[in-house]
Amino acid sequence: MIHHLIKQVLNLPDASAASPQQIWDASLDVMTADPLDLVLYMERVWDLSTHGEPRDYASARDKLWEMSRFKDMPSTLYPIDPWDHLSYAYVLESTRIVQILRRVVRAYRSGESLGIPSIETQRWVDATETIMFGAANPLSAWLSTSVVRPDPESVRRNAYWRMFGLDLSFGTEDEGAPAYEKAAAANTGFTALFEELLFELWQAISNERNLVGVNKSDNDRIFRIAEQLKYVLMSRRQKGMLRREELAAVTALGWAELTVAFDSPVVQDLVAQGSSAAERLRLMGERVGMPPHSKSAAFFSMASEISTLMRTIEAGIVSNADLAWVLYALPSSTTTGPKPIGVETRRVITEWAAATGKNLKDASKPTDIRMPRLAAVK
Amino acid sequence: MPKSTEEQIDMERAFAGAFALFLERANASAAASLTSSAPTWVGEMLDALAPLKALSPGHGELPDQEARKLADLQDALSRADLSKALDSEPRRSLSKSEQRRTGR
Repeated sequence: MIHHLIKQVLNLPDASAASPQQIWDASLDVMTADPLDLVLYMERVWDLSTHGEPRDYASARDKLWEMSRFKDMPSTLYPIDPWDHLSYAYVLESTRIVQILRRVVRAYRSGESLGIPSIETQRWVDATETIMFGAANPLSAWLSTSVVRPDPESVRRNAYWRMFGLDLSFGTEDEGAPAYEKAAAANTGFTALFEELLFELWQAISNERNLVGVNKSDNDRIFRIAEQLKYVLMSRRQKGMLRREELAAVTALGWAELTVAFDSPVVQDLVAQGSSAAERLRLMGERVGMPPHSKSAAFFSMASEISTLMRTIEAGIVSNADLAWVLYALPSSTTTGPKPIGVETRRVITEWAAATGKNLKDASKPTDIRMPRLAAVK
Repeated sequence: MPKSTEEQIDMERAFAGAFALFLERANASAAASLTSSAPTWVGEMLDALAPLKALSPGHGELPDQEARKLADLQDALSRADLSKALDSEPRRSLSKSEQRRTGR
C-alpha cells in the first residue's frame, strides 16, 4: 500500500525505471507526509476499490479527500484490490520489526535516550503512531481497531491465524504469551499445502528445459494444489471478510518496511545505516535492546514476491493444468503483456526454505490435498 | 515442454536423426577411436542435435480473461525498487520554513 503511494508520487509510466534519486525523493516525500494525508490516502484507496456502497460518491470521505495533499492522484476505480496480500504483512512482521519500532517510538516519546530526533524523524514518529499503533489523527486509521479489539498487533495475529493457521514465532514485546482471539475457523492446513505447491513448482522449474530426460514436473498437480489453496484462502474471505484487516496490516507493515528500506531520517538519527533492510533493523534493535528474528533477511527478501504469488493463486489465474506454467515460467525478452511469475516463485522457494529450514526441493511423499477438514475446529 | 504437436514432431525427428548418426559413426569408427583422441563424429552429432536447442520451451498464451486479471494484478503490485535509494545520497535541501525552524 505504501509502495502504491510512492508510485503515485513518482508519477512515472513505469515506476521500475525511476532513478535512485527519484526514488529517494519520493520515499522521503511519503515518509515525511502529514499523518492525516496518509490516512486520507488510505481511505481513498479503500473507497476506489470498494464498489457499490450505498451513496458511495457522496460520502464525507470523498469531501475530506478533496483537502488531501495527494488529491491529484488518478481517481479511476480499481478493478482489483491494489494492495499486497496478507502474507506480505505476515513475513515482514515475522522479523519483529513492529515491536522494535514500538520501542523506538516509545523511547522518542518518553525521553531523550535515543538523542534529539530531527524534524523529519519527529514527523515519522507522528505517522508511525497513527499508522502502526492506532493514534487518532484526527481519524483513527482505517477502523481495524476499536475498544472491542484495541491492539493492532492482536488484530493482525488473529488475521494470520485465520488465513494461514500460523502465529508469529515470538510472543509479546515483553516476552509474554500473545493474547488474541484464536478463531475456530482457521486454515490450519495452509502450510502443508503451500509447501507442497512450492515443491511441485520446484520440480517444474528443474525440468523446464528438460527435453529428453525423465520429466518429473506435473502441471496437473500444480493446478490442483493451487486450486485447493485458492479455495482454502477464499473460504476466509467470503463477502469481503478480512479485507479491511488486510489493508490495515499491509499498510502498517509497508510503512515499517519503508522505514528500513533506505537510510531514512530515523535510520540516520539512530545511527543504524546499513546496506540492507535486515542490517538496519538489526542495528535499530540494538539501540532499543531487542534483536530481530535471525532469519530477517529471508523475510525481507521474499515479502513482495510472496504477495504476488499468493494474489496470483487467489485470483484463479491458473484455471486449468495448461496454465500452470504461469507460476513457474520465466518471462522471455519477447514476452508482451502480463508476465509469468517464475522469478517471484523462485525467490519464495529460496527464502521460504531459508526461513523455515525445510528442504523444499526434496519431498519424501506427496501431501494429501483433498483436505477433508479445511477449517480447524476447537 | 513443446508448444505444439508440430514442434513435438520436429523435436523427435531431430533426436532420431542425431541418434542414427551416432550409431552410424560409432560403428564406423569403433576401431579408429581406440587410437584417436578426438573423434570428429562427436562434433557432427552435436551439430545434428542443434535443432533441439532451437525448440525453446514454450507455454502458449493466456486466455483473455486470465491475461487481464494478471495484468491488473501486476499493475497494482508493481513497485519502485527501494533498494535503489541506497545508491543515492540524501540531497534534499531544507525548505525555507524548515531552515527558519531549525536554524540551519
